[in-house]
Amino acid sequence: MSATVTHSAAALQAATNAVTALIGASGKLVFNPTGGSVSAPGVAIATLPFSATAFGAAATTGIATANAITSDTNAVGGTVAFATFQTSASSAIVRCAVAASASDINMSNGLVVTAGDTVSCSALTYQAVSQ
Amino acid sequence: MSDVKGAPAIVTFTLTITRKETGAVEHYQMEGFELSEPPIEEVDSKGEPECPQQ
Repeated sequence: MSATVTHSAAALQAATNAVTALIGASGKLVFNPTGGSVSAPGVAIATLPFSATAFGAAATTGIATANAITSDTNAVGGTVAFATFQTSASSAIVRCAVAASASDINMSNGLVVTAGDTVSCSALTYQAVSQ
Repeated sequence: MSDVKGAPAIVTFTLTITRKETGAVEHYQMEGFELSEPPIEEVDSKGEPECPQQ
């Protein structure tokens, strides 16, 4: 059973801002393999530090855009299945399964990062509530 | 583990990977989807066999 819930713009913004605030100063974007959980996300395949303030304030849509993210120039390597937003103390705040959004990329076996690769991330957005 | 995907995506990002061995640069457009913790399917089916015995 499902129901339709609609939030005001203020609510959308507040929800996103509340979550991104939990990342705190000097958080990081971490890519993890399959398995794990939000409380124990597993090993880091690549770790990309956020800016001191990870995200800007959410727009009226509830979407927040990350500030500049530092590349991981020497990734541990592995097959990416999840992405986590973590505090500087490695506590995961957001964890999500990742998949390709472009049809020309085959992600059925995951995104394989080889040890020593450089992993960069741009245009990262987050939305706590979809509507 | 089964992924429980919701739509629309709540995280979007572009990844660029520069391969150490070849120097090749690869771009990936990606989306992230919220997951239930633990997945709802696993909770609902707990204790039930996935393939009933004949």
